[in-house]
Amino acid sequence: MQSNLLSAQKAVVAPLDTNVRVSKDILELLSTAMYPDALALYREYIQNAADAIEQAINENLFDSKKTPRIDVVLDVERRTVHIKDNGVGIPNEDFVTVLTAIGGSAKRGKKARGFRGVGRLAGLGFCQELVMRSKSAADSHICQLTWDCRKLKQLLRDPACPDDLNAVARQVVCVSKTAQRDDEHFFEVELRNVVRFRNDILLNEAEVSAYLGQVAPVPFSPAFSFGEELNARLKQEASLQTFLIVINGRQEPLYRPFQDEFEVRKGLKDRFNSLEFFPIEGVSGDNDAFGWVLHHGYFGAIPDRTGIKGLRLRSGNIQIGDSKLFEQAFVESRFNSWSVGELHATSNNLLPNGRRDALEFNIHSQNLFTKLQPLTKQIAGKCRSSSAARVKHNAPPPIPYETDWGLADSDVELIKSLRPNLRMSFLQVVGPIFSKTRKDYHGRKAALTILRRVAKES
Amino acid sequence: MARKKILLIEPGYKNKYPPLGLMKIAQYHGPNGKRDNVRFIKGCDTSVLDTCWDRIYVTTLFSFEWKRISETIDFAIEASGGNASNVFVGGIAASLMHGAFQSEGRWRGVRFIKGLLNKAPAISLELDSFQEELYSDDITGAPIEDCIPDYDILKQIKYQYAVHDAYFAYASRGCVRKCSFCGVPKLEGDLYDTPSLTHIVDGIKRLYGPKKDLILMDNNIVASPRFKEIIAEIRDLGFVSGAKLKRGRVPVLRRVDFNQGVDARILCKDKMFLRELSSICIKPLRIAFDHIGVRKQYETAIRFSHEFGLHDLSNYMLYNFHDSPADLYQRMVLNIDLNVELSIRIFSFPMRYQPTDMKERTFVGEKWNRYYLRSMQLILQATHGIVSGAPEFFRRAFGKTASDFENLLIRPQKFIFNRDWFEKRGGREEFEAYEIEAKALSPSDKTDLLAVLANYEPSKFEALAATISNRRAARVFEFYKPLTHEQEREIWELQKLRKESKAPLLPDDERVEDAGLDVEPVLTDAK
Repeated sequence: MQSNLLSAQKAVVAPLDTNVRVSKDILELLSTAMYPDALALYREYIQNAADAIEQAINENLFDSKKTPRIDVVLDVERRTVHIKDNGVGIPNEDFVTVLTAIGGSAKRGKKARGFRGVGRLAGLGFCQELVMRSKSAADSHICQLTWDCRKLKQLLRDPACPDDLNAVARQVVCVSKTAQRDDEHFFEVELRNVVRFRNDILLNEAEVSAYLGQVAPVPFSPAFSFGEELNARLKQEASLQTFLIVINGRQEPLYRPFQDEFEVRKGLKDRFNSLEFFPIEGVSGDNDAFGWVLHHGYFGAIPDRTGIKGLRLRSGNIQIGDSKLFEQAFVESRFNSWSVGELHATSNNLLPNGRRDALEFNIHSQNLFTKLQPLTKQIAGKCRSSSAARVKHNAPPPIPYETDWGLADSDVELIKSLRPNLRMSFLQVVGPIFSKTRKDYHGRKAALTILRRVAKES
Repeated sequence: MARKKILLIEPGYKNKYPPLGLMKIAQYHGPNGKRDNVRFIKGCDTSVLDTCWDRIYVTTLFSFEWKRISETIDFAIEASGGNASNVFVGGIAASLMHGAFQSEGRWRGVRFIKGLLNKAPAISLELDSFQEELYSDDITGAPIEDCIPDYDILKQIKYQYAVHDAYFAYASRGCVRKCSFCGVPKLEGDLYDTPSLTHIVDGIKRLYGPKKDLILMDNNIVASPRFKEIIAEIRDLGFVSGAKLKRGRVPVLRRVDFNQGVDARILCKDKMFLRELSSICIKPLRIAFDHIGVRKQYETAIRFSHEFGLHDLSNYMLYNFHDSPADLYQRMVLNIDLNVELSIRIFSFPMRYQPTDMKERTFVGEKWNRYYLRSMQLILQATHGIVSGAPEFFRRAFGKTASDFENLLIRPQKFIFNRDWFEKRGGREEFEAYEIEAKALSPSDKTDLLAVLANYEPSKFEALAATISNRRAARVFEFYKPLTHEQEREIWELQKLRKESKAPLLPDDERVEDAGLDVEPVLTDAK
């Protein structure tokens, strides 16, 4: 034992003298494994587009005739997705080197939204061919780079295929060039033969719009009364920037999902009544983030479909994680889903992790959670007092069983005939079964059987 | 990869023939194919919701059944646990209205298959091998279209199809004609031969036992260059004239039915066609009579049929297309005249035209109006969709002349619905008063009245009455006041006492109903 220790002490420490081997598996790790949520690929490409447009603005490439925009085109028949921006584009001479590099983005440290250089691979796992093409204003050609994802999948699985990343890449990537001499500048991603998931989520216009409305740097809706005030303050405090994103050439561009009113549950509407801003002080004393919450009646948990539930976090005006990110900051995590608000990271201390599903774990992100305590306590207080008020005044929000549940008149009468307490608990328990979106035939049948029995007994 | 769970759904509408497409898919997956577990249901049978299905197929038929089809697709998605990419919808409506199905946002992910499954299964079903979908590697297998229909799945449901004891097959598909009212050119394209008829019939016989009848769903068999060979094949299969099948103790007469009808324009060209057809046990011989313009050819075809001893005739008559009521009447009356002259019985089946891509059955032809269509429907409902071949019955049902027929169509519908009561019994007085007033109408009065009737609905009676400025028309319109429930019940009670049993004139399997005759009234019924 002792001799081992002694010999260890004698070991000579020297720097590593072989190359680090990078295997083909890195491609899988950086594509499918990185983005378990398929829709995240839209976020990654929009993020790159936003950075490219910002750079084009800095280089004065826009004027009154040419304004920045990002187009997303979903073609269900042909099963393709196009995401195109009129940002700076990648110059012809850099095109292949930039797009075949894995990691090592030149954007790191430059305040750009993306900086790791892996997001562009987000589409690899979700289509059979991933095409990227681009041109900068000065270029005479459009360059194109194509990933054959079908072949890639095959090679990644094939134990006989060499492990070498470069050997694999050479087999699945090809590049081409076509002449086009004009001052157009763009970057375009095309996904061909997009995979089908559940309700064809990747080509589902409604799903993609709802996702990007929450995540992407789009403006508040002009119909949203607090929009203007939010814009002004966030511009000042968090250098808010928004972009025009158009889906399938629609007349109306994409907006954030906030409206003056929202539905807490079927038939029960609530309104926003006040706006509160709050800065988050960083460890060093400077501000790390700037946030806002919208107060309302706090009638209950806000449904997912509204797209506004929960305290959320944004960096570069792109969402990090989802609506549950700050659940732990609440004493009772459920109150997060009663809240509406967001934080904008304003310093480089708060950086999204590679998957962009949380912050990089460090002292600053911990500080953020701590500094949120007063706010979350205040919200929890409002939730509780609102509940208490409802119980006290015995005025529960109406459940529209008479009109919305598709019940026979006789069953409506039966419900009315129940004692108030019994009625309330019955409605609350079976309510979800009767919601229009859920067609729970068994549940309905059982609920009605119970109702008839209970009514008979009482 | 056997033992996968496959669900087949036919919407709960009323139809006459079993779903051949689903039966073929059942064969593909079933005990003689992939050995999966196949379950077949008709309508939204909630008992399937407890199972985790690997794939769900939904068939669709009439495009105007859109509502019921939609409910079924919603149900299929629910049964898939929300995984719409496991749901496949095919069939006639899905092919003809492909765009409408495809653009329905809530069905995203569902695969709507257009046309026949006549390529290798994985290709026809658009299966994605990249995603490793079930059987997506089956890119060289025989097309599902060529599978022998699986008759066993029909035992899984209670619904009884009017025609079921039969071999269902095609000797050809597509059609040489491009009639604008027809869905076939869009569905199947030009005429082409199908693989051997004998193979299909033998296959069904081997797997599911002999069937009594042979139903050939060819769209235009006489246009096939192989016509004679096909008839010879049918004879060889045992369906010669007068053939019987002995399965139990009593042999039963067999029949061959080209249920889509045959083309009079070709039949009239050469006696060979009917000579050939008379050599098999065809019953009934269905000939289409789509407009009065083909009168000559139609008549010749009927005369040829008679010459070769084919007396069981039946015909399709399209109406509500470019025709007028008078045109329809002339066609019907021609059949009556031929019946008398040749002492045969031709049954006519008027079929209301409906564009093949409309979601409801509400189309009104340029020379028809909603009121006429509803009247026509009431008349046909009383006879199960069949126009009687007997002259006296026909004249009573449709009038003695074309203008009689039009007067009948314009009549207050309570007079049509309770015809005996108003023409012969207690309501006679009111009816006669109406006749006098109606006869006094000038052509322009009649136009005014018709304009109001085009929007008529029993519930709108008062409102419409107020809009008529023409005094004579207004007086006649008074007769259109719907019966009160009490009056109606009274009439019905009295009628019940004298009601003779009204069995349909033809057995179910030989009838062709104007699809949706009894389910889709043009107007809401007063009853």
